[in-house]
Amino acid sequence: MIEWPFLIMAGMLGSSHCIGMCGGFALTLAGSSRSPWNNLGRQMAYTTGRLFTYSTLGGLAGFVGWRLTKLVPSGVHVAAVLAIVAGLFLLYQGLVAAGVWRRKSIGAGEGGCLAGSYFGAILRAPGFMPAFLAGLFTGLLPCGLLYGMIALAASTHDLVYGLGTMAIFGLGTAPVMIATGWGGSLLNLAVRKHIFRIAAWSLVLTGAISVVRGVSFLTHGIGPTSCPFCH
Amino acid sequence: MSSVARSALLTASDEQRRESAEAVAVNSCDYCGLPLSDGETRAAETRIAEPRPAESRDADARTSEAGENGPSDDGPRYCCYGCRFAATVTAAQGDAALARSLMTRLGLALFFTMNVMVFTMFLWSQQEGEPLERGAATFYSLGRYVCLLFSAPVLLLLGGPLVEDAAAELKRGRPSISGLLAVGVLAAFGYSLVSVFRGAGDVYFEVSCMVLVAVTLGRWLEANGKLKTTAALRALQRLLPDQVRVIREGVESMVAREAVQPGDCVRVVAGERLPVDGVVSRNRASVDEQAVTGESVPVVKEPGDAVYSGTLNLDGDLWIEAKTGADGGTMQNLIAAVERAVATQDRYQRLATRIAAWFLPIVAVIAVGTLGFHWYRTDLGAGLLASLAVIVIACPCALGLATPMALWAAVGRAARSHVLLRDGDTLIRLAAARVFCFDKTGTLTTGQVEVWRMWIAPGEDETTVREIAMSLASASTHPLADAIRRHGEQRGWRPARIADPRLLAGRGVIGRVESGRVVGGRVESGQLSSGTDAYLGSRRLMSESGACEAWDERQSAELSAAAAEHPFTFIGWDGRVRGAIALAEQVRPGVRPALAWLSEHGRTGEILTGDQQPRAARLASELGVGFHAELLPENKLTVISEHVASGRGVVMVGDGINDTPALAAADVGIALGCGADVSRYTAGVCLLGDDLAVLPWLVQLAEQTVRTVRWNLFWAFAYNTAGIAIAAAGWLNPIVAALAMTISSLMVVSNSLRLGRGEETEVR
Repeated sequence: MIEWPFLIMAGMLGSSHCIGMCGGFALTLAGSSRSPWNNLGRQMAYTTGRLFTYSTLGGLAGFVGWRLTKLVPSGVHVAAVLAIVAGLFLLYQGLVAAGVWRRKSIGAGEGGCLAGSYFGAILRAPGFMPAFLAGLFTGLLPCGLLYGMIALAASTHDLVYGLGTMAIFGLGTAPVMIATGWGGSLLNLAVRKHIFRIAAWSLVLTGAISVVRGVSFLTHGIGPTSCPFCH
Repeated sequence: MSSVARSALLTASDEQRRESAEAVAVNSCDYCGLPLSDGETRAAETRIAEPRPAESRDADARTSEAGENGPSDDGPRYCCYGCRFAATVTAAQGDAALARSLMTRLGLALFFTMNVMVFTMFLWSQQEGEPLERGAATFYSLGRYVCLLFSAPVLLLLGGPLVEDAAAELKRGRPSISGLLAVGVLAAFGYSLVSVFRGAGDVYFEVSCMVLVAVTLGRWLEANGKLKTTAALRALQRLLPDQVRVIREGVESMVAREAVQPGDCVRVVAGERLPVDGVVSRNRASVDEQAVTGESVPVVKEPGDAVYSGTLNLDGDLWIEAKTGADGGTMQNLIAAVERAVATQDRYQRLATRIAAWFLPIVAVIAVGTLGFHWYRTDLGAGLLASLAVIVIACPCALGLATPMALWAAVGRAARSHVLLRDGDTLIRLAAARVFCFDKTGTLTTGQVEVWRMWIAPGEDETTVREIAMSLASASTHPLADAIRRHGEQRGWRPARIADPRLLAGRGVIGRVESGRVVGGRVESGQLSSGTDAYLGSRRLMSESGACEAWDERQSAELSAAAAEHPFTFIGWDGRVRGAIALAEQVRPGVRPALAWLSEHGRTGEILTGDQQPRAARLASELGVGFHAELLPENKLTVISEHVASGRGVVMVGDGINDTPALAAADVGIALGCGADVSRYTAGVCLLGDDLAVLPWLVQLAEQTVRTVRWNLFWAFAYNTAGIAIAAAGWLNPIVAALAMTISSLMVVSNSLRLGRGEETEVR
């Protein structure tokens, strides 16, 4: 898959977005850890939980994509349409994040706040299991970036590829999230702002690639795994 | 109203209050505190349950067991599965562990379910296509065992509470949707179990798991939503301190609030809230009464003054003689009033309850029919799936929540802004009302007069006239004199020296000017020598004293026009009228914008008053509304009744005591200033304060509530009906149904909770 490097990049760069929304969870987790090493373990358990949910969602999306390709008459290239839809969605998310496209309300945090009150107890509970479960729930929080990635996973129209797509994206978010939870905020606000912009544009890029891939598949009948720039 | 009068009324109404408290015994859920919808009444004390530790809940259970002749209650009762689920875990492990163990339970179930889902999908993608090879077949069969392995814990974790809930309901002789769900899920699981061991047939582990997870998640979110709607009430309850300083025989000790008796001496230090109503017996302090009157300016309380529970002692060390016990104070009444409002079923809710009663048997019949039909047409597996889908999608939670959630949120929201609603129906009627009638004196106006204009006779020295007016006004307690004195004080008028002021009832004041020279210095007074009688009073006083004839009628052309609309007071001495003061009623600050808003939004305003025609007309034209003047209380009633008969929906706004008949006759009665004792008022809406500026906000809240209720009901009906049809046809996978139901409930809940938000005028 050509875009897997992009995925891990989108994940890594997108992590600044994750910190905005889920960084608080990581810090809460850190606050109730016994020692730095205990904290590191809990952060990893938390991230594993997130990864687990992401992968499941990815697999689900891939499976649904696969079912769609079977269900829809062969005249329509479902994979191509899915790729375009996913691409457009990512483009939209990227443009919103970059500030090019203004949304009426910045409601992204609301779900997080709402969930935060439910999460508090489990985040503060000691041990690895609660941390893992908290991660599991975090993966279900509404998140534009995630939706885009799930759409991308659906466009792979394969259980394993879909699962892989989301797992890799999730892995990409791991370093910064763990670092945040472990060492507090390593990056200052200015740096984070820069990274956030880069992340937004890399999201736009990923979306654009997905759209190009879909369109080229529709017009040239080239398989979805082939390189979008080589023809 | 003076504090003494207030406290007298308080005592007088004790009996009445007790009666009303007994009349509405609230039957509430032991987790979220919201009323139970089955219409049974429990003879227990009215209360809203704060999520409490298990011990107290158990104690409750024991008390209700001990109570003879009570309804067949055998423990805590919950309004829904979500609340039972949330409370079960608490009871087992204590309050602190509630959220944690709940999340752990749900989280583990979710983890196992995800595994089941992935494996199932894997199996599905293998199933398609060609017959399996030998190795693949073994692998396939192994996959089914893995699914079984992962789904068994889910069944234990989440199926347990579901079965418990169903059993508890069944014990009360009520079938429940939980029971149907439990049967459906267990059937699907049992069927799959047999398939696995037989090595043939379909497995539906993922269906059982997902339905359980989605249903639990949905119900739990609902329970949390409900808990949020009662947050306003708990905020009020927090205004009452748990521990109280009581001084008995000179010894101060901390006792629980419940132990305070009428007659106890209670000490409240600065920064504490008052636990009971009473009278200050020692020391003085500023008290913030916003919680009960809505008035943000602190009031100074001295020995002898009445004080109210829930108010905040700002700066002194108050000793109070308790007049009420722990559950009889102002704040306690307020809380009870809100509880009653929440407990009263409104029109839409009664409709929903009626429908829900029919819903369950019908759903059961459809589910069995679906099972039979698809079993006959395809196989048992298909029948099980289709009927499970029917049960899941039919779950009438959204329907049951549609109305009450919105109204509870709105009632709570209003209470936070110092507006008490008697019930949800009031809001619905308020939204529909088109005519707003107002009592004049005390409602639109403060009841106090103020100086409107002052005329000085030609050739008179203004300062002298003012000083004489000021000094004579100070000698009288008449409202007009009072207004002149206040006016003068605000503008720094200095009083002249006056001796022997004499009050002539209904006419005015006469006083003898003390010195030849009027105090104030600048006056070159040949006019006013020591011993002259000066007059302040009505035209009659002037003519009797022979002063009126000398008033220049040409000069007073403007005056005589104004005299028809305003009460007048004249100032005179030495046989001549030297000045005239026109007074006007003071319009309350919030009235103008409120009336303007109402007329902008298609409502008609009308003044109903016993006052004279010209005065009413002047105020009416000033405020841009219609009026009916010179009405006796029974005439007010007639006007209101005519409006009611016209069917346009009429709101009567008045003070709660004098206008009681009119308030009761209107579609919605809005009483002002009932903070001191809400239980005395029968109006549908009680404003704790007397600021009418809250009116537009209230009307908007009502409109928004009705919109939300209608939308919720429509949504829930459409969703359930369409869902059942699709599910019965076998086109709906139970997993999709479960997710759809969760989303539906969430939409209803979040839609309703939105009503509870908005800008805050919260009780501090």
